[in-house]
Amino acid sequence: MAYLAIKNLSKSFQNNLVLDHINFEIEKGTFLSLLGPSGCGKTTTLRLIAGFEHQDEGTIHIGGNTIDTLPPYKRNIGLVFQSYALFPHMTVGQNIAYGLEQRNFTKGDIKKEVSKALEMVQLTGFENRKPRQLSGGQQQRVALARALVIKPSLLLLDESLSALDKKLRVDMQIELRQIQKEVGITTLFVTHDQEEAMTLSDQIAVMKNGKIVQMDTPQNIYKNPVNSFVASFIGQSNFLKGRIKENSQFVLQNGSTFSLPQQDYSLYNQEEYIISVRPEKIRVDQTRPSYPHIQGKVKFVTYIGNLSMYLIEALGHDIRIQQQNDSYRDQLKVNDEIYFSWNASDQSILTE
Amino acid sequence: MLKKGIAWVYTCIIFTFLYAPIAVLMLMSFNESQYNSLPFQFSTRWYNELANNQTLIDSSLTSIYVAAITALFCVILATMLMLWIVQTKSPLKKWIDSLIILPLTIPWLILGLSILLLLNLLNWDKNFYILLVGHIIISLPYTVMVIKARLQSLDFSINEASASLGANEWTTFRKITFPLLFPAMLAGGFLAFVISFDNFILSYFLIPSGQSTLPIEIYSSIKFGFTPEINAVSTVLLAGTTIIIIFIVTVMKASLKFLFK
Ligand SMILES: Nc1ncnc2c1ncn2[C@@H]1O[C@H](COP(=O)(O)OP(=O)(O)O)[C@@H](O)[C@H]1O
Ligand SMILES: [Mg+2]
Repeated sequence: MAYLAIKNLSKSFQNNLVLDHINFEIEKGTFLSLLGPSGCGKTTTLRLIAGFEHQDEGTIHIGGNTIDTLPPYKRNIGLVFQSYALFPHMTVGQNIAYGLEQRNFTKGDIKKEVSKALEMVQLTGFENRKPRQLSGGQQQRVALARALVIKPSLLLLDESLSALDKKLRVDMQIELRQIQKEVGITTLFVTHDQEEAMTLSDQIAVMKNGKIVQMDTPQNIYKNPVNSFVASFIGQSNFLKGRIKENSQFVLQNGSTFSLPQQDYSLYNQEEYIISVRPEKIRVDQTRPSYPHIQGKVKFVTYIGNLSMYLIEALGHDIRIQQQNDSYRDQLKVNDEIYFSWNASDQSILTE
Repeated sequence: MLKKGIAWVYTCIIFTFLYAPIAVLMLMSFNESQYNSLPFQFSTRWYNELANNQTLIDSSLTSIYVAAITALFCVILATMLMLWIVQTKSPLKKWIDSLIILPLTIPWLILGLSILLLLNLLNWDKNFYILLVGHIIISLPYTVMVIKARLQSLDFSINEASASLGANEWTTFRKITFPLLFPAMLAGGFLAFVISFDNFILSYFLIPSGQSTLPIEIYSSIKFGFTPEINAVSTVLLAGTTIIIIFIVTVMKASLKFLFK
């Protein structure tokens, strides 16, 4: 069994099935993000693991031990809340020492551990401040230090960086990842921000309606999404819905037809498919090329400095294309007639 | 500028209106005259008489005693109830939540009358415990409101944080909930004390014969020949209350420093 194993975990609140037989396993030291839209059951998963709620079905194992019958205070799991949840009447030092006191550390050991923890989160010299006297980012770091100082068997973070502003959030992401690797702690990170999940994780589990839709490395999920929900939740994508005919022809629902890139399509014999192509994977030509392509017209241009986003009208659909603004390429203008295409390896053929 | 001036005058008028009667009462307690009449002539005569007036002293002590016990019970009851309420999923929650506040809307007159009626039906004598129960019923809603407001302003996840760090429920209460709740418990207790101390109607209905509380004593003395001793006892009590308030505020400030600084 893997280090952390979740088996068949289910939970309902008032007959509302919030977690639907969830299964996943990760190895020790892995950083796993639970990613999904609000209300899909991410927090509930964490609360079951932490022991604040009890599952209706299923089991939770850490390091080979079944922990799901233990009360929260016996699970030895580090938690970082979105609201930080620092104890307002205690100093930073007392906050960090709290978990060690429960474990009956001696005064001397506590002092040593606290100052080590403060050093780790770069807050040396802050131990006598009250949480109120710290900025959001500093409070976040105290919460992290407090959770890690007890040497937990698992670290859980629930949208812990969401309350910070963009720039600080990016800094904290890097710091969190560095500390996590240094300590080597197995981490479960809940977020609804796909960019954050991509930056931080070894693995991402994409959730929807209480189920895990796909779990894989960020690269694999981005490249090979299992369905259009994953493809649109992680990054952007163009979706074309229709039938694959012989000779690589694709017939859209509105009747328009185009040629797919060269590939063997003989296995795709279902009625309907969705072709998903990322905006940055689309190649643009200003003159008609010899390989399969689609003709379109530029409808809208968004300039983002190093990149440009183009909205193209083609086949009665809106197609998004993203291009680098480098010196080898002219920017497209509204009403330009263009020809676009993509490689077979850059498309995903999905069933839903 | 003009606006500021008007606001100032306005404030003065309100404060005069609020505090002038009390100032007059305190002043008159040092006036020689038997009939609260002018000219003012300084004297401590009424304080001397008060010191020898055993009925007035006894009734004051009874009032303090009743109010203190009421406050203690209200704080303990309200704290336990509210701690249970904020975390329970029991269907009883809604009912208790409203039932506990309900006595606020029942006139004390009717409450007193109905308790008396009940005693009659049960053929019980009026006694001290019944008086206490009455006072607790009317004071509890205030204590509950203060403590509940404080509990609701606390981030409940700090309790979960404490648990995740290895503290069981009792340790969490001792080290987290109680210190954070203490100022509200003190304020709620003080409020209950004042409500009980001040109460006339309920005490009038429920007090065992042969005893009296200060409000009852003051009321009857107004009816049967008022003496400025009442001014004196009122002044003493006001001074006492003020000292308690100053004490509480100081304690609260010390224990609330982490919130203000
Ligand atoms: N204690 C609870 N009582 C009732 N419903 C709840 C409770 N906790 C969560 N839910 C419901 O469960 C669903 C999933 O919630 P949650 O796990 O918090 O989602 P997420 O963290 O992914 O946004 C939501 O529809 C939410 O309303
Ligand atoms: Mg959540």
